Amino acid sequence: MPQWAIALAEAGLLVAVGCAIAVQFEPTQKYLTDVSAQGQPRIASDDDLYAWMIPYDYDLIRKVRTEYPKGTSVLVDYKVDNTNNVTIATAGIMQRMYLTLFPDYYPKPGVDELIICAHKDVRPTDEMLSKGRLLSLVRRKVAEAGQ
Amino acid sequence: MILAILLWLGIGIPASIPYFRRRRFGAGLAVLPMSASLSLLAPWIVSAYTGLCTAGIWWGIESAIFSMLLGVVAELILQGQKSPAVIAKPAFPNRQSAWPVRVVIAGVFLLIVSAWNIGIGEGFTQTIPPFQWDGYATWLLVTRVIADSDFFPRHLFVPGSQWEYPILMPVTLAWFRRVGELGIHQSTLSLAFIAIAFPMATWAGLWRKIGPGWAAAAVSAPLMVPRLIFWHYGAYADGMIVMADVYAMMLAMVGIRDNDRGYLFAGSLGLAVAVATKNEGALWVVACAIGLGLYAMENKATFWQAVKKIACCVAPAIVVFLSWWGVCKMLGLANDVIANASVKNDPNLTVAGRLGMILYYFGQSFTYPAPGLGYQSFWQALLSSPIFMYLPALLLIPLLSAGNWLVRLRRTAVLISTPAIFCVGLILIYLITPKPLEWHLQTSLDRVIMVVFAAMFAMIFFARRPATQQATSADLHRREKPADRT
Repeated sequence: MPQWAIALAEAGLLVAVGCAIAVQFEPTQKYLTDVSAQGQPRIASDDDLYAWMIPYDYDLIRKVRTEYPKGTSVLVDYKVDNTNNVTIATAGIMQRMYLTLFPDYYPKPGVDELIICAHKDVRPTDEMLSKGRLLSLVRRKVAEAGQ
Repeated sequence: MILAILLWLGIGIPASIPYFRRRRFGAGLAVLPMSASLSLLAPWIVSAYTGLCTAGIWWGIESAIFSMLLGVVAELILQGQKSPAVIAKPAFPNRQSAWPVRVVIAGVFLLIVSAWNIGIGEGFTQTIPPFQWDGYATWLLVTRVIADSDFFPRHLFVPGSQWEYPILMPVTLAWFRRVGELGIHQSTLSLAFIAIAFPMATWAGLWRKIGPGWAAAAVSAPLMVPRLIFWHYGAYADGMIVMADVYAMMLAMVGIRDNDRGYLFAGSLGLAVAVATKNEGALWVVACAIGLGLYAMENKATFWQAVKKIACCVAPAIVVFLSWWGVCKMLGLANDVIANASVKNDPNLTVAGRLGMILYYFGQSFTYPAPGLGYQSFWQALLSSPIFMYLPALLLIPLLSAGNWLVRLRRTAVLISTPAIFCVGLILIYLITPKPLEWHLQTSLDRVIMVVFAAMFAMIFFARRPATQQATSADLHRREKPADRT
């Protein structure tokens, strides 16, 4: 096989690989743009995210740990408005934080859940995420899955 | 930022010096980013045991010391290499005139991919994907804790807490954050440099071994996997672990094929990176050990020679795994490996039911391009589908192999054995997972399975041996005998 053919074959292969890499970017970015247009929460700055992540709301955590016995399941959830957009995005990370720090509290269908609520007027990207704005705990009974 | 990158790579240099001393620049560069990240991790593991300080410059100093230790190990290993002159010989001596052209083509390709990578990283991190906040924030949380801590953050945990994964990626990101005093945006952008440094370094190690263009395509395999870049910039560790898995396997295979301990060491560092990044890395190490053993025997090694090579190859990974396990045991942390199976779900699912569900999701992962992203054309969908990766592998490996069809099929089976064993291991894990099965499959399979496609595609480039290797592979093991050393 002549050398130019080998070089050409390699170049063609690289173009194919490059195309495979390239075509993934555009739809991904389009998807992100679409999601963004739906009013999902955006992060305004590093400080906002840090304020949300650390410090944890230790007062709230302490309250959970002292007022509810070990084994109580916890659903960490924000009720901000009725659209549930924000709730879905933020509940996951808060839940994992709790599970990381306090594995003896866990969400499980069919038992009590603690819902950590924030005031409905508080936007998730600013005040709500800072310490002290998580206002109350609500305890509720959740039906078994499938009932 | 530039300083943080240079210091990151600089920490890995002591481990590469034994290679550079022997003018083996490619293999030395291949070692560099892996040894750098592992060296950054070592002080944190030591700190977890001893409480030693990692504040300020101490982290860098301790990492440099560990990198020197790796360098000493590399020196000892390379000193034992019997025939460096033979191994350093180019794999394509009869095509030397074509090298510059092919190197330029491959180099330009890699530079374009790298530049694009940074551009995409910049774009992704300007607006953070909201549905990835879960993993994104969790990993960056760990990153920030490490970046701001002077010791292993044991004060954050109560006994039984979960520290889900080993922490190589957040440790690496924390280095960028601490040294560069960077914010979240720049910390996340540093993921782009991980996704550049690992492939570029591996290419430097492979291009003389399997050809420049083929090496460029092979190291691009992880970046081709549907949604790898997507997850990588979501600060999930899956991108990094896929790179470590595939690059480690390729380097170790070259080491086995050419009987080159230097490459075996480079591959073993890659496997250690995989284990230190995520628990799935442990499964990959097991699968890779079996696959490499088969590959060694296919390259005329005896059973015990193969066992010896595997043992050398997985030793660093075992050390890292046991170290991390020890940390979890000592601090009373639970991770996925030491599973706290207190939550039992799906009690009504039989084993057959679980298997059916698992296979259904496997089928989806093997066929769908990237669910929900709405590709506009058939070709777009095909090029971004895993089909584009594993189907060519299954067709081309037997075509490119030499020998009769039985030999070709055997070679194909050997080359795809690692991803195949990994898949079987995954199925077994999903069968016994204490977590809700459907949730587990929905949230993790499409990320975990990425390595299978990348590895299969990369194996295409190992199907055909270079001419000189075909001529000498049967004699490789005899080179070690003193009589042949002349």
